[in-house]
Amino acid sequence: MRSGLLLPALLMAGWQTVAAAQPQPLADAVKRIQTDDANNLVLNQLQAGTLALDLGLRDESARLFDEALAGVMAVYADNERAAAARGLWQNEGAKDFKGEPYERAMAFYYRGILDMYAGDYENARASFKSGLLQDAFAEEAQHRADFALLMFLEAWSSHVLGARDLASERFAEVHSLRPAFTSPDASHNVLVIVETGKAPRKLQDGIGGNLLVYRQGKRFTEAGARLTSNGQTIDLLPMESIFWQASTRGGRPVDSILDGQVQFKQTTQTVSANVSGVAGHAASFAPLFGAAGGAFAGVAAVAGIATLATAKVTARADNRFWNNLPDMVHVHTMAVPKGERELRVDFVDGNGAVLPELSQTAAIHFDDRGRGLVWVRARRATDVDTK
Amino acid sequence: MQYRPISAVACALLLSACAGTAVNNSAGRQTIYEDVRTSSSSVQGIGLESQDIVAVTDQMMRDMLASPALARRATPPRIILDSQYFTNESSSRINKNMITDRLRIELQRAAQGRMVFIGREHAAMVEAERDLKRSGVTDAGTIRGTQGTAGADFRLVGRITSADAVDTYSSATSRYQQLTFEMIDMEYGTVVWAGMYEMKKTAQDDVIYR
Repeated sequence: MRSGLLLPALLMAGWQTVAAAQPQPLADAVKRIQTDDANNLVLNQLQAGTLALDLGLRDESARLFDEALAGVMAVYADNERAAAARGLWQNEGAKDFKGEPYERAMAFYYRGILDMYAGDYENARASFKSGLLQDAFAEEAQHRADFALLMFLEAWSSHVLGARDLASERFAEVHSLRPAFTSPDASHNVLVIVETGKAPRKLQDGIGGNLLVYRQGKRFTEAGARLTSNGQTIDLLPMESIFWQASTRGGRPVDSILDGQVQFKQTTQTVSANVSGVAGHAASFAPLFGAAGGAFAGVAAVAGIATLATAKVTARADNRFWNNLPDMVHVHTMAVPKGERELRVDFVDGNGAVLPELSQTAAIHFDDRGRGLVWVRARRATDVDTK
Repeated sequence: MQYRPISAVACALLLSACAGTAVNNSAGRQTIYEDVRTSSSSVQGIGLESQDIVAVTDQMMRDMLASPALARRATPPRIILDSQYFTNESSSRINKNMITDRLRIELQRAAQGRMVFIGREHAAMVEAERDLKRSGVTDAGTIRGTQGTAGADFRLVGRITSADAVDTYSSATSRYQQLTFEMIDMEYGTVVWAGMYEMKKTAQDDVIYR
């Protein structure tokens, strides 16, 4: 799909009418959608959608994720900003943000969670399948389509829909990626999803920042989650590392373009240095040679323009990142009678010690068919790294 | 004189550099109505789009109207055609009612009484009204009274499935989608009519997004 300017403008206009009645952090996030650069639209929508989900505002979150996914799924076949970002004179960050594959996959993950909350497990399954497709873009074959979390959630959706064959096929694939995983019992009706840590960070590296490298989020110590229900304590299975998904993608095709920009910059710098050495003398001698002095002036102009061209070439990799994603996602399934409403969730560090400041009680959300969901974050969606 | 071509190239470079700093101030676009039966000129994807829903429902409608088992019975059959047993197993998020609602409404219009459709999803609403009538809160209305509401002869079932593929060299993404429709005899359990629609779409994103 070709992206126009109309869609972002309409989406931003729509949000102006609802921003007033929101909690302050969400109102700020929504305001950022309206006021930030248009090429950050999807990024701001994803971050605001995550925040709205964290605040329990699921309708607003669903709307934000729908709008963000419209941008993520847009096929940029003939887009001005995409073409500009391919050129010599703009950073990769000039392009409209659609996220790297792990971020696109996580956008579908959250949309699927919202569908599960709404009891729409068919569309939840469609979301998880679409997310899994995004992971197929990894350059390193061994890490292609290995997003076990989305596979598991697709299987779980089929499980609660009663599609046993579809569920068991996918659960078997999950088991091949996570040997510690055991398929849920047929009686299981509640899914617990717990997120820990902070989002993977993208940093610029290499000559002039043309390489993109990933680093784990900063300033968090939780590494696992523990559930207490009916007096039983259960350690949740760490199903996915988002940092692992981010950092194992391998090189991107756009890296070649950035590399080409760096090579052009190095070449023009060499030309500039070589010619300007001559030009320094040529400009001094030009008045002495009358009409022929114009030729020397030309040398000086070339040197100056080559330097200008070098200065104009920008090859910085796009290091914008979705900052309120988690570091890890942990899951557990169980059979719970519809009357039971609450669970206790504790978080543990790498040594298994409980971090009491993060402990919380979580409500089980049952839909009208008795299918339950618990979704918990160790940290609020406002507790983020900015770089 | 030998430097003139170099100077021309240099000027071109300078102009190119200036062009790169331009602010994107392109004008907006008026709201336009687009034909739902054709692919949008500006917004396209590999999922189910309006032209697909129109095409699939049009084809299924024609098929059903041509079926003697459905459209040429001496007594018009009663049919439930809603999304309750129409499942989405594909990777496209969709509101299934868009398909079943259009199919039912177009069939109702085209069948001209040869098929009767039961609004089973509104059964609770109908029962509530019947209770009001029978309890004397309201009068009996002007049409008629019946012992029970209409039972169904046939019910639509179906499935949306898909197979996705990614060419890892070009990063082209393709989605093959299959929509199956079957009409089940609600007394005997047999399939009295079946139809299928399939499509495959491929798209390739700009290299900077691969």
